[in-house]
Parts: sequence; C-alpha cells; structure tokens
Amino acid sequence: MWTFHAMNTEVAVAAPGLTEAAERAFAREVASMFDATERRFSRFRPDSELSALNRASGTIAVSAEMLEVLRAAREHVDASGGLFDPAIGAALIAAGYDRSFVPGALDRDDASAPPPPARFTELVIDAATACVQRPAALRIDLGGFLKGRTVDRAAAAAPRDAMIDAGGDAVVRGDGPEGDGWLVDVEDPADPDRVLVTLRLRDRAVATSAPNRRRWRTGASFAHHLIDPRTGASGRSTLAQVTVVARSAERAEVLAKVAFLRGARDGARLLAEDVDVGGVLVARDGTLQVVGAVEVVDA
Amino acid sequence: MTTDPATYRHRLTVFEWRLYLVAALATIYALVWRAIDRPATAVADGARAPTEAPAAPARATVWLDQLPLAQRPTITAPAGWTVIDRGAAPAPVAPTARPRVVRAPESRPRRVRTRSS
Repeated sequence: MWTFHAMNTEVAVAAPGLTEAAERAFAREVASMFDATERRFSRFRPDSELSALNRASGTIAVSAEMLEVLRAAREHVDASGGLFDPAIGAALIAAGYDRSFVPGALDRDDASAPPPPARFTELVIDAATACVQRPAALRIDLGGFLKGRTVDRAAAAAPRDAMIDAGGDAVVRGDGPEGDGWLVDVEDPADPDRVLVTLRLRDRAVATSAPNRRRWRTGASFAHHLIDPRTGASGRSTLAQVTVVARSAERAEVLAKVAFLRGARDGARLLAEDVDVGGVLVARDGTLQVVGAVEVVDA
Repeated sequence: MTTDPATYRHRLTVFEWRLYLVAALATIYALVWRAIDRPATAVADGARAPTEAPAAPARATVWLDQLPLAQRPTITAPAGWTVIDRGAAPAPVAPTARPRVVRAPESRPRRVRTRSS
C-alpha cells in the first residue's frame, strides 16, 4: 500500500494483485490525477481555474474539465433539491473557512453573519461556447464532491482488485487482500480512536460526512464545513455523522452531505430510496441506524 | 517535302514553355525580394547612419485585459456577440511540490477507515 498527501488529506492506494513496482506506478498515476485536479479546482490556490472563475467580473471562458465538473454538479443540485449546492463558497469564507483547513488555525473571537444564500442555479453555463457567467456574490466551492469525483477517476484506471482511499472517501474494487471483500471501519464521531461498525464491501464506494473534524471556534460557538445552502450557515442536524455506500464516491459524498442536512428520519428515507445505496447514520444521541445495501461484519 | 523559311512558324515545345515559365517566376521573385529588402539594405549600406537608437516597434496586438482600465477602449460587440473575460491574471504563487508517494508501514492494515475529512 502507498500513500501521498493531496487535497489536504492523506490518500492511500493499494492494489494487492500487482507487483510492488506496478502498485507503486499505479499509486504515482493516482497522485498525478489528484495533483492536477487540485491545481485546477482548488479555491485556495490563487492560480487555479476555479479561483479565476470566482474572481471573474463578467462572462468567462472555461476549460472542458471545468465545464464537465460544473455540469455534473448541476445535476446533483437538481437531484438534491438544492441541499447540495457548490455556491456556498461565500458562506464558507464568511464563516471563517477562507484558507486550507488546519485544526485551530480558523478559530476566531467573533462570528460574522452569513451572506445572503447564493444558488448554483444562478450560474449561467453555456456548454455550446464553454462560457460561464457568475453572479457577483456567488463563490463556488467544489470541496468533497470533487474529491469523490477524483477517487472515481482513479478507480476507473485501477486494476481489478484495488482500493483508493482519500481520507475516508474511498472506492474498493474486487475481493480485497484476503479474497472476502474489503473491510471498511466506520469511525465513531464522538471518539476518533473507536470504530463504530465494520462493513464488508466489493466494487463499491463509501463516503462520510460529519461536523466533528472540520470545525473551528467562532466566538462562544463553533462553525463547521457542512454549510446548509438554505441558510448559508453551518448546518444543524439531528445527525452526528452519515456514512453512505454507493456505486461512486461522487454520489456517496453528495448523498452523505444531503442526508446529514435532512436529519435522521428524512436522511434514512433518502438513502432507502435507491436499492444500490446503503448507509450508517449516527444520531447526535449516539443511536446508530444501518440502512439499505450494506453488509455489517462487526458492530 | 521541304519547308519554306519565310512561312515557317516555330511552335514552342513543352520543354520550352517550362523554361519561359521558370524565367518569369524567377524575375517576379527577384523583383519582390528587391522591393522587400530595400529599406534594410539602405541602412546596412550606411547611406544614412543612425544617430540614436531606433525606438522599439509598437506592439501591434495586445489583450484587452492587459491594458490599464483607463486605456481600454469601449468595445461594442456586434449583435449576438459577447465580450468575455479570460479571467483575471493569476496572482503569483510559490511553486508547490508534486505529491510524494511513499510506502505505507507494513503494520497498517489494507482496509478503509471512513470518516469525515
């Protein structure tokens, strides 16, 4: 297994069927994908294409890669009824998340009011001319959605038996190192040293959303990165954590975020709508709920 | 049968036509080359020695967004056309290293630990 650091997280790559040299070459290929994606889509890099789009005062020409990502994001926005919305960039900045996250570095003594909610649907995307027009107040943050999407791209280039894990957003392919599936530990949001439940997966993706890690102090309260697009503020939920198993990491990531914002009852209902989707929901009181297509090995 | 020299008219062969064509093209080429080369040759010949360094030639083209705001002409696009932004010039950033791939410790299990990140 090989690791590297990208998108402010540790990425692990394993391909048990390959020789050590071939596995290393594959890990390097995955690292290049992550690096290229981060350089183009990071909102923290002033030289990224996303930063140029977030600065543009008028219509701006975008790359084919940007166009494809915006088009995919728009589909998730529509499917989620707006609960997934990459137009939360300004809200994240207002909440204090204006640089790459480091625990403690975003702490502040005062809390600022969230900006008026922006909608991704206000972004004018002209696919025919590859041009985008952005309302002045709208800032795009592609965050976890993009990480999941990059994991999927890496998985598409992976050998039959492989695992790509980007800080908990992962795709597993094949039967795993022991031949009986890949084991996925779901972390306890109240105690990072503890595993709540272990799942067995084959040819599936997994992603988890929770406010316990990317959080920072704002005066006497705390803010976190799961912004509710309806309010522009950190989302309040009856859930402490949502883990989603789906066919792609992109979808798992989006569903985890949306289920978190919908809360325990509606979130579970959302995950149960699709026979290919399953999940583990942890309520704020610690209650654990397993939904849909997941095999629990150990609880 | 004989041919009367008074009434004889020489008919050009294909080879001769080609020779005439090459000669004509060479003449045109020489005239054009001479016309183009004349100003530079005049200076090089020392006909008029420059007394000061020649000014740099004015830039023929420039991106609109490279001009200071005050110098930008007002552009009226034809109906149906849109003036678009290439994006503001990116701020300089320190070059960042490519991700370094390292082998994970053997003790680390090949399993996923999913969490918010």
